[in-house]
Amino acid sequence: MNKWIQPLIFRNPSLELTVKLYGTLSGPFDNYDHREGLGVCLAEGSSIGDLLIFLNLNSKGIGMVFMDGRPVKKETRLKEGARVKIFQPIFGG
Amino acid sequence: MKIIRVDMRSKKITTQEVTSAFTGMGGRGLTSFMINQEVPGGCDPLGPENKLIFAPGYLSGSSLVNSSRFSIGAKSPLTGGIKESNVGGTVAADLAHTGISAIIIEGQPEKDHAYILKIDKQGDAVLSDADAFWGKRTYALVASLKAIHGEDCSITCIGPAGELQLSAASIQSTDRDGRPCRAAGRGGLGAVMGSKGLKALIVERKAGKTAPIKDMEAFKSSAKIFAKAVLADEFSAQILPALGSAVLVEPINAAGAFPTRNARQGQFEDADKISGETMAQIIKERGGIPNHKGCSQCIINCSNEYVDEKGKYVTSSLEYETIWSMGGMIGNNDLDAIARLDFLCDDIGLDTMSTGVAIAVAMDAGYKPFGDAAAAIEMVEAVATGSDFGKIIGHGPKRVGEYFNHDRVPVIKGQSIAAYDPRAIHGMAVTYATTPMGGDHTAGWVVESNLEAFGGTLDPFGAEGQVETSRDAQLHMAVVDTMGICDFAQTGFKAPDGLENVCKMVAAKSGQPFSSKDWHALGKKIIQTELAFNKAAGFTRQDDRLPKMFYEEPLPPHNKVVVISDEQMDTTFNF
Repeated sequence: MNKWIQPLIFRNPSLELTVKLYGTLSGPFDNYDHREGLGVCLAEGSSIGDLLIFLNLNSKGIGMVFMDGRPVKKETRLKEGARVKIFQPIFGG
Repeated sequence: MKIIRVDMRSKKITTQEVTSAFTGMGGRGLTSFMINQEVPGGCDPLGPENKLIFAPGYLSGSSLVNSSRFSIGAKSPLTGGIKESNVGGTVAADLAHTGISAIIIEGQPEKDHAYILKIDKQGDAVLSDADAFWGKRTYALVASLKAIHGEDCSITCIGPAGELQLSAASIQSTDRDGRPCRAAGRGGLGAVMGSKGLKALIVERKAGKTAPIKDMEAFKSSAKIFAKAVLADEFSAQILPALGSAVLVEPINAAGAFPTRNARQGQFEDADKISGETMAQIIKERGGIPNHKGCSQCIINCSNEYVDEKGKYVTSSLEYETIWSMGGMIGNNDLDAIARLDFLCDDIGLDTMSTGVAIAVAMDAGYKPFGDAAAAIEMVEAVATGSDFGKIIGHGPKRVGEYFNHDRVPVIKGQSIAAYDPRAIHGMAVTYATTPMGGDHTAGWVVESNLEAFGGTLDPFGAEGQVETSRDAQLHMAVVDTMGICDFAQTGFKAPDGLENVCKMVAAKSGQPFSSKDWHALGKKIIQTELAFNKAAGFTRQDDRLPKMFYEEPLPPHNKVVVISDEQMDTTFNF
């Protein structure tokens, strides 16, 4: 993992996640390596919505979010060791 | 505005003014109306009765951004029905600048001679002998022609596949850098061009010109609003320039709709190795160009230049559909091999989609294992040699299925599906089945309305609402393809009163009123015309069906089949 980010203040930081950002979502994260993704620590009980806020992505256009290969909603609780994929809305043909 | 008619038998070239029946018409609308009017439905697509028609979009050559789509129409040797396939690059703008609305290539040379048609800056046409160029691949051809005719021209041409009149042959056209890497890929129109003995169309560039417009001020005002909307949209202004259409690999794969190993699975486990994100990273690391401007008037820059480890040019532009057809569909996770296959198809003049699916069917039938990229490259190279097996691949997946007596062939009206499995996105089942064009995704792309996370409200595994959604998309796209607007610039329609704004440009160009009501009526008229041609060509409702694999084989990971009934399909165009 090339880079871990975690909040400065948190309680019981027991969730370690790997997050892959798609489209242009990785722009603000210096040195983001898409092959490895982003390592993130969050407090137990955090949700997908909390992750989006933490990564400052909550105000951006977000399409699908997948956790361990399954589509999830913002209120879905994160699982220890989860691999999360965050996509932007798509359009095309 | 004028029409050039070239009789390949007598070599006579005539010029006529556009008649009132075709006023306000360009691109797909024009090619489809003319084909329905002039080509007998039952004719041999590779015989003298068929006609090959080139037409820039109605708004091509104007100041409107992303308006450089060039329609090519004929009776298709692949589907047996009417076909319009459009291509970007520079030719639409260059031809529109000369004041030409269409070029009709008709008849057939008496002997096997090859010709080049050149349109000069004044819009005058000359047919010249091209026997010396017959047999050349497209990159070498373009290099030779530029040495003679100079850099300031667009070249639209065929490679060996078109010369051999193979049903998956494309017509290639040059990009802004003068490379024949843009393709009117679908429908085997390269074979029709080959049957006419036409190796290339050269159009001289007339710098600083715009196509005639009646009310320039009104046009410019609406064009600005359109451009502003394209630049305000995150997808067309940021995502496409960064990753190109390849951005779709991961989300479509995550949705379980990425046809893998001849559509045996809906997810490719190695999608991350061939994704847009990975591609962009590789291109950057190797010193290639991730955001390249391929077409005249483009402000999106979705194109790219893929390079090898030494930084040497491999191909442009590596796009989603090719990454799918030469990647997941054949089980190949090697992006360098995909890029090589893309280049070979452009150079030989082959549709990357039909060719990739042809290879997938061969692999599915046991000819070679899935994932064998070297075998895929060999199969494509075989097409150019004109060997018996090469011809089978070059005729597309249906012919390959017949050769191996293999019935898992994902084609509709003889043409392969694109990179969206209809079992996981039911709206695409309707589009594939009912478009007069044969299996085709651009005819009515309804992916986002099928996926909730992308704002869609339809159940992607259900029938409800799919027919209506696909119908609306198809009627709309028929007009977009008539105007010559790039599919990716449809974000320009998101401007306030976006459709009315585009209609204002049509009215400003023609000097005749044109409202959104006229837009919808035109879409209906185009589809009706295309359906009428297909009926005359012998098509029935039975041709509006998917292959049985989509109705019978559940697609992992969702394990769904297509549930839209024949009766529901038949209501798509019940007018």
